[in-house]
Amino acid sequence: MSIRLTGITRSFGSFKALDAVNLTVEEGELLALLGPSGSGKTTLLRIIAGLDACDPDRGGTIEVNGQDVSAMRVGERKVGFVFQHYALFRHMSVFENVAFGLRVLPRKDRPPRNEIARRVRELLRLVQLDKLEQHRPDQLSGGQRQRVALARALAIQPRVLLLDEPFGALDARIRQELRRWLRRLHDELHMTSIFVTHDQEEALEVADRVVIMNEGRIEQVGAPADVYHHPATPFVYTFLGDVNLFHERSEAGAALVALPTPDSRSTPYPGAAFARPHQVDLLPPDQTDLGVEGIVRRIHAAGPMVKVHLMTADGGDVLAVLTQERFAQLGVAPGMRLRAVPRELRAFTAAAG
Amino acid sequence: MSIAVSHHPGLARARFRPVRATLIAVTLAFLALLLVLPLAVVLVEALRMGLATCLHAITEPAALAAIRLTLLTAGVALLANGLFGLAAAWAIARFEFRGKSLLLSLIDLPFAVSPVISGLVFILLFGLHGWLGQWLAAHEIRIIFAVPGILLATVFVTFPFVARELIPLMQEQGSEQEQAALVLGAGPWQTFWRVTLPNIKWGLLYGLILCNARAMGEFGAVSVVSGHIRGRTNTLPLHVEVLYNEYNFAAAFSVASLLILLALVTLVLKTALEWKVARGIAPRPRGGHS
Repeated sequence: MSIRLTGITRSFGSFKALDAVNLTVEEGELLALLGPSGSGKTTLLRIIAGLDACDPDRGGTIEVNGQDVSAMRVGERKVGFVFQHYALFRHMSVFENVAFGLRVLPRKDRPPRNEIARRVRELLRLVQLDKLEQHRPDQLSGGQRQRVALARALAIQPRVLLLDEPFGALDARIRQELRRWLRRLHDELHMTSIFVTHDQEEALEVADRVVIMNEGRIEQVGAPADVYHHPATPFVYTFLGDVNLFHERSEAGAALVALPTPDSRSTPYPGAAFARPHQVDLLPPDQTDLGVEGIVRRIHAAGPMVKVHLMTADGGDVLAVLTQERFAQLGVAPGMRLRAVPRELRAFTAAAG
Repeated sequence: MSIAVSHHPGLARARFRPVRATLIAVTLAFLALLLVLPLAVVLVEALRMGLATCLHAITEPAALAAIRLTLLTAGVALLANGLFGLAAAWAIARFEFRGKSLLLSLIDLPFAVSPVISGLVFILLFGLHGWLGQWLAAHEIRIIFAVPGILLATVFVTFPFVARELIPLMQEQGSEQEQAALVLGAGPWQTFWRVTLPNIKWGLLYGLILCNARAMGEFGAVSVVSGHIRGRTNTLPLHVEVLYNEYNFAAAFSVASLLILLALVTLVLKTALEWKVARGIAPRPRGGHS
């Protein structure tokens, strides 16, 4: 099912959680709503589900497969919704939780008992919980509860699947596992799915397309590689990874900007210029006049790459990521003087920022 | 250093042993004097003239009428305040509205007001010289010095119990499970019966038990509106007072021991519920991630 949102605005008092948001979700895609807390991503998800409504006087519409569902009650929309804290029914077994959506159907639509049992067991097998069907939610681990919530949402054969911070409450290792599992599940089911997250790594790894939100507006929509390599705004650039930010006004920025960089395109950089840490090379001061000079303050060498923090003369901080070989070759040590030379700089015009 | 630290709790225990013993002794003595002794006196006095007298005192017609009226009063109070408490808790926990904090304070009013005043309020409203007295008299509706007055006073005095129990419970549980039920297609009634009610049932029961104990035991407010008509408007506590004032001590204490029995049953139920709820909330061993 495709979803089309037009002009969605939602205010809480004077605070605008969403400001005239337009978004189209393609049939069968897995879409991530990514943004910092307070950016409006969860509100948008709840509006799609029908758990919240957009400001009535601003005339926003929600279409599912071309059909306007704005006036539909939440139960009629047939959406699968997975809550951030799962919202499992504490007093019911895993089996009853998953069966709930079928048991509350009007008598004429309700499948017979054994059909309900068959479908519930099939879903529990899908989420690999068939051995725990008589357990209560409080006897399950976080990851297991998450999968019960997912099976429960899928039981009503929803037209779209909405997940609010699906991995937010889990520890790092389980997150990794579940995230890959969710991707595989989506590839099996091909159900149009939207999930909310504040974790850029998660969004970039799992989603087909990523919607980056900030202060109630959409900053950019695109495939993960697209938004990562071609960020449309400074916000997107800074939100999607570590970043070195130079301002023309600052001495370091001026030095960087004024001096030609190795792949010099000699563009003037009005406003801020950005370089990712892996795009910054470090050189001994006697080998180059490019870039900006600084003193090595901290080194993190545990990992495939080495992170080196430099402090520039005007107190600015530059982060460079080197390969282990380059690190050894330079013999980087705290207190050493080095020049940070960006191989690539990205600038945004003041208007875009 | 680490040795000193690990020995510290033991040292502390030894040093404070006399304090602990004194505290426990004082508490027990206090309990014995103020709680156990009076209870024992009531039972002993009730049985002083023999079991037969005691049984007769609680099976004679006036006593039976008092028991019936008490049961009726408690039943009405439970029904009325169960429904009201549920509605109030739901409104306060789930919705934002103007005057919410005022409503919260008003619910506590019966706890703050002396029961005698609670009774007087109804006399001022419905009594012969009260605001509605003339109209009621003209239509031959009796409220004061009759059963309806007793019911009203009791419901008034007991109405905070259920609401007070449910409000924090429902606020803490939040509405996520109910939202989940709605998304899954459940209607409002299905959501209430299948999700809301099962989640608050123990709290509701707890509130009802407290409400019941107070409804059966209430003296002040009921005394003001009852008129003490023997066999007609006497509840158990009022009946005890009447018997006592007639120097019929054995009978008074026999009926009183019924109320004490009620207190003990309430206490047992309350403890059992607290134990059950505590056990339900405590984390259980969890299975590993699979």
